[in-house]
Amino acid sequence: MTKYIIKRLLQTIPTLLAISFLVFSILYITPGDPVLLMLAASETSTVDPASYAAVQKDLGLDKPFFVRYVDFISKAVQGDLGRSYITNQKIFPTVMERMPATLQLTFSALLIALLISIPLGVLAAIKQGSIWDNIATFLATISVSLPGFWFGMLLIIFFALNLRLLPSFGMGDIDKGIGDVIRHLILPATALGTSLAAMLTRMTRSSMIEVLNQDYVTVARSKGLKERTVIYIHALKNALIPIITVLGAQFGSLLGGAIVTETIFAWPGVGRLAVNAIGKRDFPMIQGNTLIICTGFIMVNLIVDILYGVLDPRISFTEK
Amino acid sequence: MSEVTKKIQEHETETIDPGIIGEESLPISSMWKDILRRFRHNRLAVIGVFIMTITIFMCISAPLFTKFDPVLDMQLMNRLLPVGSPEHILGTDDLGRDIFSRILYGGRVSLLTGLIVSIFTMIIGVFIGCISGYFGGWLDNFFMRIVDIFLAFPFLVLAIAIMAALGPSQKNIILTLVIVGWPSFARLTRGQILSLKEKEYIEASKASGFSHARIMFFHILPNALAPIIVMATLRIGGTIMSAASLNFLGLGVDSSLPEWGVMLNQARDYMTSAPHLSIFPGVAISLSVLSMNWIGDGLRDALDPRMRK
Amino acid sequence: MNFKKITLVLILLMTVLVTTACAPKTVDPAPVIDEEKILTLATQYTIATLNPYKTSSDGDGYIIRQVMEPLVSGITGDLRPLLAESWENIDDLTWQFKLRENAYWHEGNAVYPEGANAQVKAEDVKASFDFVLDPANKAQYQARLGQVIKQVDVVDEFTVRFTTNEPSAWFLTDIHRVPIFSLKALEVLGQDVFDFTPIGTGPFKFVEYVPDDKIVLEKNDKYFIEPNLDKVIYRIIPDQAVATVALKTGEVDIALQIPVTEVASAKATEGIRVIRTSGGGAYRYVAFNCKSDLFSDKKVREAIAYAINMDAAVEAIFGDPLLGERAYCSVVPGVPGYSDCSDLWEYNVDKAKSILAELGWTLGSDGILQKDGVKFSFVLKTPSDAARSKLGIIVATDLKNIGIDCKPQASEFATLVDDMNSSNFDMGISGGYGGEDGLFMMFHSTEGGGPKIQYANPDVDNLLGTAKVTVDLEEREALLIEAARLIAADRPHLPAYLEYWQLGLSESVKDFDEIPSVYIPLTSPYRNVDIVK
Repeated sequence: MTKYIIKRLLQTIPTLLAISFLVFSILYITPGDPVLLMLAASETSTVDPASYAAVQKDLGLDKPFFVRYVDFISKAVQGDLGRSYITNQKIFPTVMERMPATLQLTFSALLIALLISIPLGVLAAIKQGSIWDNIATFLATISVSLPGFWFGMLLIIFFALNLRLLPSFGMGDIDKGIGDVIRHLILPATALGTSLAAMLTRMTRSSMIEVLNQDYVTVARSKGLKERTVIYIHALKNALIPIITVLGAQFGSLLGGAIVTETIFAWPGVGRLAVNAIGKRDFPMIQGNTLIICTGFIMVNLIVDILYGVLDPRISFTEK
Repeated sequence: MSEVTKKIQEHETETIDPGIIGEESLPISSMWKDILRRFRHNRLAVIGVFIMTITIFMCISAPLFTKFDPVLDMQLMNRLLPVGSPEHILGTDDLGRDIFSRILYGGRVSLLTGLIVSIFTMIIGVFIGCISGYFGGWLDNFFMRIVDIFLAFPFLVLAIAIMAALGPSQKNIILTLVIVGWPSFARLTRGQILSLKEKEYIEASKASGFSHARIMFFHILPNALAPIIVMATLRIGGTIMSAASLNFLGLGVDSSLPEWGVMLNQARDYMTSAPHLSIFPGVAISLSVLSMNWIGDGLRDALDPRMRK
Repeated sequence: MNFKKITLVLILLMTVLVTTACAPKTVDPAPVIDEEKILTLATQYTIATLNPYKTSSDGDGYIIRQVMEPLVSGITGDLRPLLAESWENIDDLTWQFKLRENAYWHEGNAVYPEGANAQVKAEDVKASFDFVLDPANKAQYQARLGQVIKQVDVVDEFTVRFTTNEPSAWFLTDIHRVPIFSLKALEVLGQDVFDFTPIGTGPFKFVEYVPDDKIVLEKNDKYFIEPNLDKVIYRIIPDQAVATVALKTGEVDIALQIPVTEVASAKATEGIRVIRTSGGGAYRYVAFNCKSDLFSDKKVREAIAYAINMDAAVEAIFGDPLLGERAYCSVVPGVPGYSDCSDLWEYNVDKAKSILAELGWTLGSDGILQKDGVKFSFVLKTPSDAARSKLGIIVATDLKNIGIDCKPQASEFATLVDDMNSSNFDMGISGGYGGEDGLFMMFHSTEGGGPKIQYANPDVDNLLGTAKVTVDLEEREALLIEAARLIAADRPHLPAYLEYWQLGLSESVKDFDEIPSVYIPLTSPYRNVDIVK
């Protein structure tokens, strides 16, 4: 297992290289010129060539593609991800100071999603075909068809405006107590976690149904084990595999900033940073942000793959 | 046939749908009849088919159901008419266009996009996931790293780049969404394959000398289908919404054209003042996803007799 | 299950949770006293920088201009003394400013400790301007200012003299772009810290910036007028509808921009007022690429103008002239050059059709006009804000109804800038500049935005060029009015509307209504904003 982990960690290097090259290339061909944007070019002003050249040189954009790329990589391995075109602040600290906010939101969303979906999914599976099953399916489908901004806005209008129960935006302040933090977390985490919960509920349900029909479950039952043990320990464990997969894959999008949720709730995370950077073609920020998030995501995938092995001992990590 | 092989075949026929392996067990036509029969008995699946058929029919023959043009009949004096207005059963939107008409015409693009993207991402993703999970080794590593890259890559950047390179068109929206969407299917499938390939009956299949392709697609995959189908049907709704956000970014073709996701986006500013603008496209999307769900579940149940209670 | 493995999993989870918990805590610098008067505002703009010479963004200006002061301040056409007490135009090329003698740099920070009493004098003003004018410092307005200002001199301790290169009609506007800042601060703090720690002479001192979350300012008790407010807090809320909710719940006292669709319900909320922000309205229009195949013929542009019911469009988008009204002229009312051009624009579908028929366009079998095998088909590029994307759809639908296949496409900003800049469009919807030099900036064929829309009219250039150096207001106005009407006749633009931003505020905010803007100091000789709960 340790060998496997080390191997995977080493593999992250070429992956990250590939990602950085891809981002670089994609930004190169994408329309939108950061120099123009920096010079606040608009329909009302001609950009005089001297200023353009000056800013271009400043941003290092006058150099050819490969020179820029190699420059970037050589600095990146030393931990210097460059400076933002917009703020001129260093990229790495800028991203990292917003990471805790996104992590807080993402994990809360995950927690809410799991707390809703697993019990609901198991219930739907056990009572397959009953009213519970249908309700669970129905709710799951509706929430997946709801766009994120819509649902988030709905929550704000209902809980913040109409009921005045919760704040309508922003992150809580730990100095004002854990209560403040939680109050600010509830709505955005719910908004973010719900569509994930929908998918997870359905997955859990169908996964559990399948597993419950397996031979070994019948065997466990015939052994006289309590129904509860059978379900929770034996069945659920195996049903969890596709769920973990989905979680791992979805985490990428959650970590990628939950852009819509962060924007609606004015949550100061990496998602908003990314959107701003893309809108203004802040290349170093886009690259740096992407690299950092991708690294996190790759780590999560590694954990997911390890969890497979933990949950299902038949999956081995050695090569055949 | 030796005793061992026969036993293996018997065991296999218990756990896997008869007729898929070992054609000598049952004639194919009767297998399909069986599947169809099970499907028909699934009430929800039938309702799903019913709803989908009606929806598709109404969307395709929209001119039969409404006299309004969803784009040209813009009556700025009749903005935001409520539900139940004379001539406009579902009311009008913020530019005075008939909502019922826009839902019908919009369904053409939305459903088509949703279905095509779902199907293609599923096919590509499942194929790659299968190969990756089954063969393992460096192939698995290679594909999964590519999947990692795609999943971790910011959707926005990718979308803008692809559309910029290819130009805005509905075809390219579909292409973009397929490119962005297949990785999660691949990951899911691979996970499923990983856990299933160690099962005893697969060992047996291998021992029996069946080809890799056969084992992969006929023995393992059918059992792995359940969560994949769930993901595929749920994806339809998500696809419609993603296509809408691409429109928003300026990657769409024509923002006056009706399309359920775009309608939802444009209804956003009227959430409290004119909720019917959001409700109807929302219901349309939900209903489609729901019925596809039921159909998907029904298919899966019909294909695998163990599911039946 | 193997316990070893369970533990491994749990450890991994715990590590993750712990990292989250170790979030840097937002430091609350001083305990909040109940009687403290705090004004909380919602702004939608992300902060790019708090460096006064690097930014051109309003969002940054909202904060910078409470902390630092330019020589003059105010709204377009009404610039009043601020750091300067008075000024005079000694001759056509010389402007002399007398500074107020009670301006001091903020104290209690790393640069000026408490009790420093560092007074701001003419040499500091000269230093700021010299710094900005030096190309090596890459100031945002360096090019423009460099063209206008020849030299800055210190006459005596509190008097500064500016010499311009040519008579400049818009001189005050130009210098009001430069808040006076401390070069010592730059030296002491270093560029990185300086960029996010504004220190100036204004009524409020900078306290902290929590990235993407909030900016906190506190009152400068050494300011020559005591501010009524103890603290000013800006919350960054990107979604305007959510900001409106926050206003209604009382979480913020002022929401700087209320979207058109929320105005009615905000007004109906008890304790909330909605007022128009200051300024003449944002001018929005449809622009043609005058050299494109389809639109190089002026008659075609005329036909298009007849085909669009712009009045109805504006009514449909805003519904209330207080929110947005039809513009017939490329100049904003109140700015020299404005005149009533409503006689120059008419909605007449029949005329549109007949002009196009005369030019040889006939309806094809698919309902689209065509001539010599070419279809009248193009993309209308619009920004993605609510009003303009709607305008795009309405315009396109009007055109579709006479057989022109116009496809409205809402674009994200960066792509649009690219396209407009390289004239890569046939028709686009855009926003103009309502400043005094607006006409010049939009239509001059070599020094303005003419090239964007491929528009060049030598007569117009003459008029605009002359106006630029005409200091006398009446003369200038006459020149600009003539230019504007000439432009209208050429139809490179189809003026659409003037959009008036709406600001929402709680009734407890006092003395804000007359100058409803945060770009202008909350405390000055002209107002002292207060909050009475």
